[in-house]
Amino acid sequence: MTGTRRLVIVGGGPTGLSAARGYRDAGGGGDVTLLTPERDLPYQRPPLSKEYLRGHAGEEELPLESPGWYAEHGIAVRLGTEATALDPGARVVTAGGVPVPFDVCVLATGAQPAPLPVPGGDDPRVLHLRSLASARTLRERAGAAHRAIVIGAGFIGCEAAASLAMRGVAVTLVAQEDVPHAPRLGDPAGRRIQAWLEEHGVSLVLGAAVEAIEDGARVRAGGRELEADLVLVAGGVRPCAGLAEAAGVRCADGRVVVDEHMHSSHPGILAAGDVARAFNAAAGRHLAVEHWGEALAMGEVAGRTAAGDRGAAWAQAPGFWSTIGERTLKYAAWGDGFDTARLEEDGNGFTVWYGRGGACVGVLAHERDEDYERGRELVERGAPMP
Amino acid sequence: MTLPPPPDALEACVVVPARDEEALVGACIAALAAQRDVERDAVEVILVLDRCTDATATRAREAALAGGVRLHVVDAPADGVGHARRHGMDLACARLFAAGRPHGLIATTDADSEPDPDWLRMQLDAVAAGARAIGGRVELGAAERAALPPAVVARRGAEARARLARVRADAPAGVPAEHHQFSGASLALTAATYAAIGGLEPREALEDEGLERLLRRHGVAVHRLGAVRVTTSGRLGGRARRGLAVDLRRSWWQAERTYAAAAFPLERLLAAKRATVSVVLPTRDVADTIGGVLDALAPLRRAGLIDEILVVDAASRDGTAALAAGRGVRVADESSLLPAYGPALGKGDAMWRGVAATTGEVVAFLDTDTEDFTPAFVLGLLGPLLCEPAVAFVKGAFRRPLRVGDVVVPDGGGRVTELVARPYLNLHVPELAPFVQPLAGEVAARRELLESLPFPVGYGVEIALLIDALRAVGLEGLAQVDLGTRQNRHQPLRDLTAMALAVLAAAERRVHGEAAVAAAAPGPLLVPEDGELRLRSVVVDERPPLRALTPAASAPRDRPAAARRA
Repeated sequence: MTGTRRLVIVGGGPTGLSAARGYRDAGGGGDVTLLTPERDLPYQRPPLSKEYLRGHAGEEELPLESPGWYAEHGIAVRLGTEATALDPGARVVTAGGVPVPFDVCVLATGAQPAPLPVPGGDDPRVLHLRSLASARTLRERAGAAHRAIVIGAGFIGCEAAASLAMRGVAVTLVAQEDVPHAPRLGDPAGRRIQAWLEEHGVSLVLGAAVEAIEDGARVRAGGRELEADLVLVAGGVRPCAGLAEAAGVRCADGRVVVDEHMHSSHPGILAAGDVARAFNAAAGRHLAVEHWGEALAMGEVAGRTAAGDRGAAWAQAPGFWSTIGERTLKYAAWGDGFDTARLEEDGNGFTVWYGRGGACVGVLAHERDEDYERGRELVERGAPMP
Repeated sequence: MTLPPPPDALEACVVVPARDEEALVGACIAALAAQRDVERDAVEVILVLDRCTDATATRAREAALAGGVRLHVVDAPADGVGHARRHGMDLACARLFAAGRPHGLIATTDADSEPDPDWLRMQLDAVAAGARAIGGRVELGAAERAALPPAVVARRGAEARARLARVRADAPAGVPAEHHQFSGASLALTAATYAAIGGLEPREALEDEGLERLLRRHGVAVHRLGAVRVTTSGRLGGRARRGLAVDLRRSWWQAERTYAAAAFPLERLLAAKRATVSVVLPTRDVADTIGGVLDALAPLRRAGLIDEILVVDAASRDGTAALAAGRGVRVADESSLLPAYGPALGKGDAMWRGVAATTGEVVAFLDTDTEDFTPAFVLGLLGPLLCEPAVAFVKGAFRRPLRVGDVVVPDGGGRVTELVARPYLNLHVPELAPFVQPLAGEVAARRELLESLPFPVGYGVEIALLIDALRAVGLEGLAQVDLGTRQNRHQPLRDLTAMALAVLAAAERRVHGEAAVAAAAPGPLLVPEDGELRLRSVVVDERPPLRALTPAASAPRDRPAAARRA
């Protein structure tokens, strides 16, 4: 037996699962307990705003691993269990009212949708999209809806708006920015995404701050009043670092600060995924990232570290793929700002190169996979803009 | 993958399925290389890799080289130990036939097991004496045995004796039954027998039980020989050893988490009490019995064990509420609690609202239609929660004598339990099989757990809470307390149909997902009566976890408290 005797993973998202898998893959032979407040075994989140919402994929396609996999790998999963306290000194997590002792704990608590800070934003009839449970509700409501309002033009907002429109729902997308996605991806890319949404028949209300939501169905924004059968808020997420903060584990900007091996300020406590602000060895700085692939990558590093693998470190450039309607964007970037965005376009696709101080810090590609692959490599090397 | 042709001298093929067993497979192969009184050329080992990602194959090859035994390493065609073993036994069978030895031996063991040095010799001798299938004895290694609590060892011993008695009773005359086992860790049959029964059934695990059934169908008796022995490392929660692992966990639980109410006298609980305690009593037309229940609770409240009692009444028309209020107990009409959720829809709904309307860190629910209620019911339910921090959920167990006319049948009653809940749990959630009364309304749990669980509004609530609690805190967080004997009201069979449907719907939702009950929602029950179909409504809705009543899970915790005050 190598590494930790009792590994407790708090969180049943991709990070938590990946930590369990990484621990076993690296030869970890101890007891593994995975605590998740959700009532579903770890599942794929990306389809929830796409194939699943459109009704093209069923729930049976979502689980990341079969129930038998957990049994075979000796991973005890506790469903519907919220960890409510963490004692780093005694090395005990309290969950479901009982103490769960550990030698190493991986905090993989992820993030939660932030309710819109306006009157009516916390009405239970206002929908969010994050968990499978929330996706079930959204899909059910969408099945009976003629009109939908989506608030927020980030990835989830754009993907969900296109998917709802493909179901035949009349969708209005309300966003504070003048161009969707512009703050993260820049104007040129944003305008193309805007055109795709319009092609799907999504009406856009841009540059409009939401002032209030009434009865979970009427939205006042930019002086207009909009009404629909469902309102989906895709206004970003906030990391769930409360457990760590209350335990005195070092946090910054609401995330647990960890090194490239996912070690926190406390021995025996690791953190990974959305809840972590992890040091990226290639970037040479700490990054806050909320992508699926990074959740898996950081989780694996945490699991391997827990098993005693000192070589496991986070060094890849973060990235994601986003599918809006039938079009896919591929993006790799440090994600913490750029001063130049240069667009290259041909008949089919386009590429946006992002630079900061002359160095390439990101790439966004549509139908140009070779640029995406090359760009990722340039970003990781800190090479100059191409 | 093609294996070299079998040697002419081949008498026995040993099949070893393995799933990431690099730490243990070497000892297994070494033990097979060290078999006494068999010719080297007469034996070969077929190691079948079941999705190995570690150095299992390398370790096995090293051990085979060092020990001088012929080893073939092959990949399993499909996932699971059953497929791996079958593939290996199919190969072994073909090779023995090719070597002209239809009465040669296909033996199999597990990669985490070590056969005794005479393992093969004994089995070859048994075959020479006429045996066609042999079950060996599987013993836990000394270290594993020492790690088990003594009570578990004792219980396993008792279970083994009981099984041996059954095996002996079934064994035909002249067939040895020296122990009770027949498991993949040590079983063998002749190639001709294997061919005659058509090989192993394609199952993922527990393939050894399947094999025994198959043999029985073909009239082949299993010779269980005590001298044919392997030592296994039966780790709690081990990998592909699902059967043994569940068995060990259940045994541990029965030894460590099953209590008698008598173990918790009032003084002990008062000394151990660190949490506040609420008792929630759902009532519906129980004027005959509620007084007795409240009178039994009163001294416990005066002594400070119970901090709060709440009667949640379902608009009783027999004066139940007034009777309870007359005893100075807080009474609430069920629909007046959390009124935003409309009229209460059943017993589960009343319990859910009862949790919301109380504040104790530990909440106990009691059925109020009990004639012979005693304080021991409450003491027993609270005992494990107040004395053992690792327990989060306690279920009452009792014997339910059923009166049939003047005759009292000792262990009858609980028809929905015996005919629906118990078989269902054995099929799908076998860890819960040791619960005597899975549908008992006598339940106590930590508030933190109860607020994180959904509540079916009707009779599905008990099985739902039990399954969900298992998933939330594991078997080690669950306890059972023997509360003695009790009598409940018995309902006509026709009424039980609706109750059984509610139980099944709640269980199916948990085991097979929402889709499994979608067709039933909102739960109409069609009953043919006098030539036509009558519709009876069964509400299978569920209330969300009280903790989730806040709009977002990350919102401040003061929301449920505010809801409680409502």
